[in-house]
Order: sequence, then C-alpha cells, then structure tokens
Amino acid sequence: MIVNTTRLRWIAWALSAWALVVALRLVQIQVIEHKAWESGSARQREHPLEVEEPRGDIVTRDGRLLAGSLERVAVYANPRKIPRDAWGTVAAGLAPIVGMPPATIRAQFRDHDGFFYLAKDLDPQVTDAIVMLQQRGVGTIQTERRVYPHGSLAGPVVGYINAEGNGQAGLEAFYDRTLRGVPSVYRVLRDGKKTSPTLIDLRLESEGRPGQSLAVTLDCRIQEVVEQELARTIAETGAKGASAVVIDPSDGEVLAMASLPSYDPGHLGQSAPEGRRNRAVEDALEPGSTFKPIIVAAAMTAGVLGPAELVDCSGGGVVIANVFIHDHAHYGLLPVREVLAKSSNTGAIRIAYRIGPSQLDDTIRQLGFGQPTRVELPAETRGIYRGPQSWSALSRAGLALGQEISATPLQVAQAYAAIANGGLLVHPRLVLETRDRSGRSVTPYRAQPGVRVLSAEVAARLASMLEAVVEEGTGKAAEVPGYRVAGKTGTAQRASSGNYSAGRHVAWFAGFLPMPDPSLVIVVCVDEPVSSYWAADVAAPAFGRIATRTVMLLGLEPTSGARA
Amino acid sequence: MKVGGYRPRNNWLRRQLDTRWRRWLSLCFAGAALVSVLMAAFIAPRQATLRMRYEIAQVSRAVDLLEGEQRGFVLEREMLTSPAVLAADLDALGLAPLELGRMAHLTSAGELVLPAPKPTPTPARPRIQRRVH
Repeated sequence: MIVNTTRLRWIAWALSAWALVVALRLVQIQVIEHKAWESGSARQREHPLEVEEPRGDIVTRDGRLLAGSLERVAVYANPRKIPRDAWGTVAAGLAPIVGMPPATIRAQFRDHDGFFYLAKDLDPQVTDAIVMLQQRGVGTIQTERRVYPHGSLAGPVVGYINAEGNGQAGLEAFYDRTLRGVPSVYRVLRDGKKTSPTLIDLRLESEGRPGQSLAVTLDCRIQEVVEQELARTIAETGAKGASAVVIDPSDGEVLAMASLPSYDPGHLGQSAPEGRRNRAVEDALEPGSTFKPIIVAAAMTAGVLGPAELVDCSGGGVVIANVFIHDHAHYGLLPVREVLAKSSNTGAIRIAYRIGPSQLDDTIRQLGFGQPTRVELPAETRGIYRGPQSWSALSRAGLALGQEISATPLQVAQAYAAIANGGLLVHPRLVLETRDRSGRSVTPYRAQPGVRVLSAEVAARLASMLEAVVEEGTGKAAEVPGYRVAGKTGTAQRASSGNYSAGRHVAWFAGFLPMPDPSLVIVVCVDEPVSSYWAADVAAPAFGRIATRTVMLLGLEPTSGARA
Repeated sequence: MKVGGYRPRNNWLRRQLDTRWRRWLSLCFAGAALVSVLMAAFIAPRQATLRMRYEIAQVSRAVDLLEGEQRGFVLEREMLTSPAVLAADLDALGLAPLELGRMAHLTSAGELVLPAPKPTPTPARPRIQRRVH
C-alpha cells in the first residue's frame, strides 16, 4: 500500500499551526491581557456601591453644635419587580413600617412604573422590618438629615446643603470636602439580570473616611447677643437690614458674625431670598466717616500730621476742584483728636490733601481695603477700591469722607483690629481646627503672625484719638459703663445708579474695647434705617449694647479710671 | 437419549467468600470517622467564628442604632438649651438677665472685685394724715 505522506505532513503542519495560534491567543488572553479581561469580567458580575460616610459637625468654641447630622432611612419600591397579585399583601406589610394606609401604597404602586421613594426620613430601625418582609422590589437606602439645632443663629455663616448633601453656602460650602469625608466603595456581586440578590457578597474596595467636624471661632453666646441687638436695632429704626462682626484683634478670631435678615438653614424655603446672603462679607458699602481714621493714620505714617497739630476746619466747608463740600458746622481750628471726635469733613479733607496719592494708597491697601480678608467663607467680596491711577481731583476728598471706596463690615473690622493690635494686621478667621469623629484635633489652624501696617506709635495715638470720639464726640452712645471704649461713627449715603440717594443711608460704628489693651473689635452696620439715619443714633447705641453684654459674657475686667 | 455415567456436579465446590469485607468496612468507618473528626476540628472553630461574627454584626447594629438615638438626643438638647430658647423662657426658668453693675470681676492680680453696692433708696417719710375731726 502506497501512503501519500506529503498530504499527511501538510495536515500535521496545519493542525500544528492551528494549535500554535490557539496557544498564542491563550497566552495573549491569559498573560498579556490578563488584567483587562479580569476587570471586564468583574465589571460584568460586580458593581461598585458607594456608601456615604456621616457628615461632620460644626461646633462653636463654647461647645455648642451649630450643625449636625442624623442617620435616616428612605424606603423605596419598584412595582415592576413585585407581582401584581402580591401588591395587596406587600402594601399591607409595608403600611405599619412607613406609616401609610395600604390603599395609599397600592395607589403609589399603580402610579409608578419603576423605582420610586415610598417614604423618606424614617428611623433607621425600619431597615430590619423591611429585611424581614423578604420582598423583591422593596428596600431601604441609608440617608442623612442635616440638623441645625440653633435655627437661624449664625445661619448665613454656617450655610446650608442641598438635597444631594453638597454644601451650598457658608462654612458648609467652603469646607464641603472636609465635612463630607470620603465615601466607602464596596463591590457587590450581581446576577444575570444585573440585580444584587443580597448584600452578603460585599467586598470593601476602598475604605472611606467619615467627615471631619469643624470647630469654629464663633462664641454661641456672643453670636446670640449680637443677633438680638441687631434685631432690636432693625425693629427700632425700621432698617432694611443690619450686620455686625466681633473679632479678637490679637489673632483675628471671629467671635460673632451676624447678618439680618437671616435664615434657618434647616428651613430654607421659609426665608426670603434677600436674607440668604451674609451681609458681613458679601455687602460692600461706603464706610462713610469710619474711614476718617484711616486717612489720619496715612497722614501720620507719611509724617505730614503731628498729633498735636491744629487743622483748619473753618468756613463750614472746603472748596475742592471748584466743588464746595459742606461740613456739619463752622469749627475753626481743631486738633486732630477733635477732627475725629467731631467728625469734621473739612478737617479730614484738608488732612487727605496733605498726603501724597501713593502714600495714601499704600496705607489703604495695607489695611486690607480692596482685597478679600481671606476669611473662610465663599462669595466674599473684595469691595471696591480704585488706585490713584484712576483718581480725579476730588478723589482724595471723597476718600476722606469714606466715599469712592466700598468695604464690607469684616474689612472695616480688620482695619480697626490693626489699630487695636498696635499696628499689626491679622486676617480674620473662622475655624479653630478640624476634628475627627472621636473629637481629636486633626488640623489645628494657627493664627498667622500679624503684619506690621502701622507703626506702634501711630496705632497708639490713633486709638487714643478714637477714645475721644466715644468720650466727647459723636460716639457717646457707644459708651460702656466702667470700660474705656474707642471707636468712630460713620453715616454714608447709599449710592444708586451713579448718584447718592438722599433718603437712603448706611449707619456704621466701628470700635474696640477695653482700652488700653483691647480684646474686642466690634463693627456694626445698619442698612437704610428709617427713623434716624445718623450713626450716632442708630449704630453707636447698638454697638454700646453689644459691647456691654459681651464684656459681661467674657467677664472682662473693667478699665480703671473709666466712667462707671 | 440418556447418557449414564459421569455427570458433572459442583456440589463439591465450596463457596469462596471474601472475608476481607470486615477489614474494608472497618477501614471505611475509620476513614469516615477520621474525616469527620478532621472536619469537626476544622469546621467547629470556623462555625464558632462565623456565629461570633453574626453576633458582633448584630451588636454593632444595635450600637449604631443607640448611637443614632443618642445623637438625636444631643441635637434635641442643643435645640432646647439654645440661647434663644433660654432667653424666651427666662421667667419660667426663674432666671434674670445679668446687669453690668451686678458683676464681680477677678482681676489679673487674682483679686475679686465685688460690685459696688447700690445705695439703698431712702424710704419715703410716712405721711401722717392729720385727723380731721
């Protein structure tokens, strides 16, 4: 028998080649592309499940909880996965758990074609009852409810979160990532229908981190006092709104920051949109005469004004660039101290024109005007301040009266804090530290060292002059019995559409106490008071009441030699 | 046709029984017992661990629920002791707002300065009504 070996050889070669191809492909799949195929396979049979970690609290320096979270549960249903003939039984089983009549639940099954939330914000214990039902198409989802126990207290500072748990305003927004932490990610096995029959086959892929809590510099008691006094001021004067800031000048810690009208972050829908902004950092207003001490500081720093020098405040006003600017009275020659005490426009303007534009600009900028204070709040405005390059012949006069510049109450407080702090400027801050769930400090925020913006001598002289404003000048209503107080009133007209409005004013009072070593800087700003618009009648009394109650709360020692 | 003579018979054969079955059965039982013992030794602690895990899970769940409740109480306490709420209930709580003149101060030298006593108002002189007869 003759055997054709050539054909056999070809067949053998062909089979070998095929085997080789298969082997190579296997090597490619199993070795080279191993990871890709493995992850593809995992994607098919597993899916990630993100579990949010509890959001951190916001706690005041005196240990009061401004914001906290409660674990809650939402019950969902998917009628497509529940047999229609079992709807009645399922509804009857769910009724006592979710607190709804069975008929209503059945109606909801009819109205929805797929997944829907049957009830939200339930006690976490209902989870056990739902598991006991062992019903496909019904389950629970862990949720969280943000609670603000003190209601509207410090509402604009604390801020709020949206339905998805994202911070939208205030500290909640600024520290959103810190507060919310990192969610844990689990891998859950799912069947061919892409459903997870049980959660037993959970595999932790990445461990989350609970949100850290924020310890803030606010003092709940002082905050309450400030808000009460602002509310009283608004009620008495018919003002549109008011804001106030209390800070410690040595380290810039904000002890209170109030903005009225306010809102309760837990019941946001009940507040008017007007009340949802933090006026203390978002409203830039002309500071009026509270800016006069800045002009005096610039003049003393530039060496063009001696402390005992007399300033010509005669004539009832002054002509600048052919414009006559009125004063409150014919004062004659006044020492600088009295220029501030009487808040003489003529005196302030004459001082302003002694200073070179660049020197004035330097002092204004160094005291923090025209730039954000860097406080830990979103939407902080930098205010409006244009440099000498865009000044007109009248600009320095405008600045001397606190015009052609706008600042937030916090910016004004920062500048006055620099005067109170011996010429060292410290940026205001709201957060003391972040803490973990057990209350241990994670990130302590240390106060930045102060930056010298005024010489200690200039700051001390200016503080002494401001004391005279309260003792014998326009700020008498800001007196605190037993304590020496320094401060300045400011009444500014509100600007609208390029002109000053005759009937709309802003009343300011900025000051500090107890002298000579102040530990409190308080700025009050009342927007559009109606009964009287003078700061001496509106803002200074509010300052006095806030200061009186605050020194009592802090137990500050009375100043020797002060009027009781 | 009948053929007389020799007829093969097998009655002389003795049944050959395998007597080793006892040994095999014993071996099987022994093996089963050994496997059972080994499995028991391996599974029993595992079973105990599993049971413990379930118990821990249950206790953790209970702890979580209690912590949640405690948190609810803490938040409720915060609401009830909020300065605004206390200020509103001042009279009911038998409290009075503090006045500046009634405060004692501890000076930096450690000296307690008590508030100056307010002068007692001079009692009004009793008006003697003249009897009119």
